[in-house]
Amino acid sequence: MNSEKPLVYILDDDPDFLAIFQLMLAKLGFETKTFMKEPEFIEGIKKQKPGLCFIDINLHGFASGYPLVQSLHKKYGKELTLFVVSAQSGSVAISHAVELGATDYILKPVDSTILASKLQKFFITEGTREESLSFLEHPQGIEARLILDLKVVEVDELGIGFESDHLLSKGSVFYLKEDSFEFLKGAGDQLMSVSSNEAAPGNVFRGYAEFGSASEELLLKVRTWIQNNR
Amino acid sequence: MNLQGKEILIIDDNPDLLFIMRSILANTGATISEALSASEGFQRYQERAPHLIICDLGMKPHSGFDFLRLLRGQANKLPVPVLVLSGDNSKTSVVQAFSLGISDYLIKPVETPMLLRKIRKSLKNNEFSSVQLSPDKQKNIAIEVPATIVAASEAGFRVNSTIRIAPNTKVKLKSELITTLQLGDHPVRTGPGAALSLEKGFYQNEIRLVGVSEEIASRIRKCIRFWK
Repeated sequence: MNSEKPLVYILDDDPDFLAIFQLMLAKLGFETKTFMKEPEFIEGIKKQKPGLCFIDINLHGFASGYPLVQSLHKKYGKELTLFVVSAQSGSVAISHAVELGATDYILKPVDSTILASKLQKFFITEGTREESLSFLEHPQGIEARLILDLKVVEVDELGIGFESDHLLSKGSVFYLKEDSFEFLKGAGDQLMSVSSNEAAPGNVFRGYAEFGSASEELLLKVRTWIQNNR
Repeated sequence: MNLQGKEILIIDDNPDLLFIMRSILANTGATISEALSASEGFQRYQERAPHLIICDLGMKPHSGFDFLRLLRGQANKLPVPVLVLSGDNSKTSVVQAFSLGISDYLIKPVETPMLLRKIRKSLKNNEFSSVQLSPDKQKNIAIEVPATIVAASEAGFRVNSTIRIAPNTKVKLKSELITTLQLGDHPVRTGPGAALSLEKGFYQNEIRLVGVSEEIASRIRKCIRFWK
């Protein structure tokens, strides 16, 4: 690992917050540069891209951080990691920032342990290692479901062909929601079994999943759907 | 011959022939649908999306040829394999039917073994085709993958599953634990690093809570304090 300290930028119009936050980050092993105004901040990024940026959402009393996050994300994409800093804790505000391109959301007042845990995902420093939270294991594990998107590119009588950024193991199962396709209406969520999933050009995985236990009625609905969409 | 899961549509204006065909195919496991005219046949085709159509030619008011033309529409081939079963053995009819794209032409009366052989051949050569969705019709759908939450901290969860989720992906986590913690609507996503490979086909994904207030952190702390 590089022995130089990772550089992070902070944009906030509150000098008191900047001072405290800068100290906090320095303690965790980061080099910081602070900005109180947007133009200087944008100029700073142009001159030298930092490892990560913290952006206050409520700059000068307005929610002007949102459009800034959006335009920076549009311009730099994954090259620039953006953390939003805000006192607003509602999930709507957080979701909005994430939709616009923020990678994470730090709440004011900043908890240094949570900050370290989040930063450790990007940079491991002595400071983040000492300060970050440790995970506690559940003795048996808790049943859960992960919900995410797949792109369906093909439908045939026995199942669906899909593309995704994620790798689904061959032989694994997932549930196709009832509202995904007209032909599933009234049939309930379908258990699908992955029969293939391999890396394809363009950094995606291409796969095929069969209907787990399709009734004759469902098969008829799938066939008529295919017939009408051919 | 096992035709389980296959559907065959028989179109003939002679009810006796429909009866005979149904008896011949009774033991194959195929689902049979029937129509007594060309127009009824087209309606059945639309409703039942059969794998194979067996069609007579000499029907009224619309002939089997009319049916074939309607079925083909503007396409350059028939959308489903069609076997013609007709008493008409004239060369003109045979040529005309093949030019419309039929798979085979059988003259009545036909022997059962020959009929079954032709049915099998038509079904084997023509699997019910799939639909490759054009880019504008391709759609993202939400799927639910079974998983196990094996560890937690105030910043997120470690979740084992058969899926390896790409870094920085927005996901949703559904579980009794999430409900207890009132985090159902809270945004979560995977971290910037790759998921950990466990035993064959299993992965550990780190799912992070985006933005953690002191209130949420304390709720999580209280809930997981007795874990190891």
